Amino acid sequence: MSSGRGLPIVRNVILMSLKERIQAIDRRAVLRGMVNVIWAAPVALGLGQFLKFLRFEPPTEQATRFTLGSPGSFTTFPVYLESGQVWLFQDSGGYYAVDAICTHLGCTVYAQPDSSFQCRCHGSQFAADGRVLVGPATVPLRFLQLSWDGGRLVVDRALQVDPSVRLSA
Amino acid sequence: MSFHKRKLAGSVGVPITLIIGTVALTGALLAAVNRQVNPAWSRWQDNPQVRLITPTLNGEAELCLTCHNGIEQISDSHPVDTFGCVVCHGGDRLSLDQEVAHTGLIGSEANPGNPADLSVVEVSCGSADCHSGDVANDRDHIERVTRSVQASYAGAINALLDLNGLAQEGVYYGNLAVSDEDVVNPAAVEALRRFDPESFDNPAVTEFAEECLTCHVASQTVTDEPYYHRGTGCSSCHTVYARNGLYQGSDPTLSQTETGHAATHELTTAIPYTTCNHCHNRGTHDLETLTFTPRDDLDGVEALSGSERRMAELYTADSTHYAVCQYELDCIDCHTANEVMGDGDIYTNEADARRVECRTCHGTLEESPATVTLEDPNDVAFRRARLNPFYDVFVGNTVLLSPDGDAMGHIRVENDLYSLSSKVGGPTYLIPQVMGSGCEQDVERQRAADCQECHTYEP
Repeated sequence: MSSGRGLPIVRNVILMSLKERIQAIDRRAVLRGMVNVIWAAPVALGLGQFLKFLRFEPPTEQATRFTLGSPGSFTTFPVYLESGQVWLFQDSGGYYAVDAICTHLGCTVYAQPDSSFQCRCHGSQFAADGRVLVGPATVPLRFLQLSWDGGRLVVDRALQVDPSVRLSA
Repeated sequence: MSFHKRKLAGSVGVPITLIIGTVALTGALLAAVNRQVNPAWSRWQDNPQVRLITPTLNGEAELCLTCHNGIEQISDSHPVDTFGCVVCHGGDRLSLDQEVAHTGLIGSEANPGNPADLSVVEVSCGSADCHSGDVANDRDHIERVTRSVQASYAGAINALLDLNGLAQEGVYYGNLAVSDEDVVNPAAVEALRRFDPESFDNPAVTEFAEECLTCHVASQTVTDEPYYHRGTGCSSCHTVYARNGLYQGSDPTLSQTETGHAATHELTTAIPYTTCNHCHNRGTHDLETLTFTPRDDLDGVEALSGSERRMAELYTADSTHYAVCQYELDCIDCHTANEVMGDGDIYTNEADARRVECRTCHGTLEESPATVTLEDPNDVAFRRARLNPFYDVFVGNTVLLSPDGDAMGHIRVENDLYSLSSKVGGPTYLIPQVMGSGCEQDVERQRAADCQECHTYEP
């Protein structure tokens, strides 16, 4: 114990009363402390941001599943759901979702009264089962997998299904 | 003062350099915070926020709309949420610094903001899957345009060479070197060599190059005078410029007091006569004397309206011998896309590229105009109609046929009546037919000047 150089000082500081401690702090020490804070704060802030930058990991994959909502919230079918960029249909077999992104250049296609689709950008037309009726598109529209999450419909834009597939109500 | 500083610093044992450094560091920090809180781009928005879009075409996020907040969507065929900005304009998609964001913009040297200039059009409008598409599908517009007389200026160039004894048999020149392995029209040629004025070492050619070689869609307009403002390349025709050349849109970054921008950031196929008028009918030019005399009869035109104004703007004051269709209609109501943009062949003068005659719409004493009933939904006529907001056409409609077999969807035939719907928002006209009328025409004389002998404008 007696051999430790710093220990008596620590003991002294601990044993000092608050008044003694305040008296022990001279003006020079206060100013020095303030200066230290002034330069240390931005350095610490910058270091923190730098560490945050080094630890950043970009997202490796985009989300493909999108919650469309409860069927009861849709007043009419088909309905365009921007959250999943799909047209949601309902027939006697259940629900199905058609990709609303045109296979030509990616514009939004619009469902027609006869359940066919039309792209207003470049005039492509698709049949109700997604086949190309009029170009310039050459690839059919995709039908996408639907599933339930509680009472809500969820579409997975990464999973294509056959046009005949329905999700039971 | 310095003494006082030294004394103060010395009194607390802190080096003066540390104080200065601390103050500088704090200042830099405050500046950085201020830059973060009030970034340069925030001046373009009332409620500053970064505007990020991810175009469905490529899925690559971009921030351009943060500053270009309020800019017009270029067209319904190019929705911004599908195409974004960068696919046409280039630049650094994720930078909010003006200089960095505009690094690598696709544009001409004179107008970096115009990606439709012919010098760069192959990587913008004409890039893969866009307007340099399939010839068979009538979508190779860039090739058509670069071969057209509007881009080649071949008429004036070859006439000049001919006038000065510099023409060579079978050799033709144009503003751009182009070739065509599949010549369809007998009047067309296989190639144009690039016109290099210096290679001729002729004073007339040199003067022509200096004074005249700006009247084509590949060149920038050279004057800031009213009426002359226009784009280059595709935007020569497909963007509308105000007469005063000022931007009138909602992009806060574009000046509304300095010329150099289209009236709005929009493309159109409904090209008004005023756009054609930026180049055509601007005055008289003479290739023999190499002089251009600008019109001086436009004072007071702004006060006119309707047909009077169109007449005054379209034609010089002493030219009052035009038929009704020549001033009531817009230029593109008669002149087809194949004539104006080119049909894929290479011509050495404008007359060879022209198709439509008076009889195309009015017929003759012996024949009615040629027509076609549209049955294939892939016919280009439907595409053109869809791109134009002022007329429509449907499968089963009978429409006029141009002499080169182009369906003119805006001219419908029903119950032997021929009606033209303006492509530019004007009224629908019933087209009078020659057959059965008292017309005394010579069937072979079908130029406008021939018919104007009787059908003239009466002020």
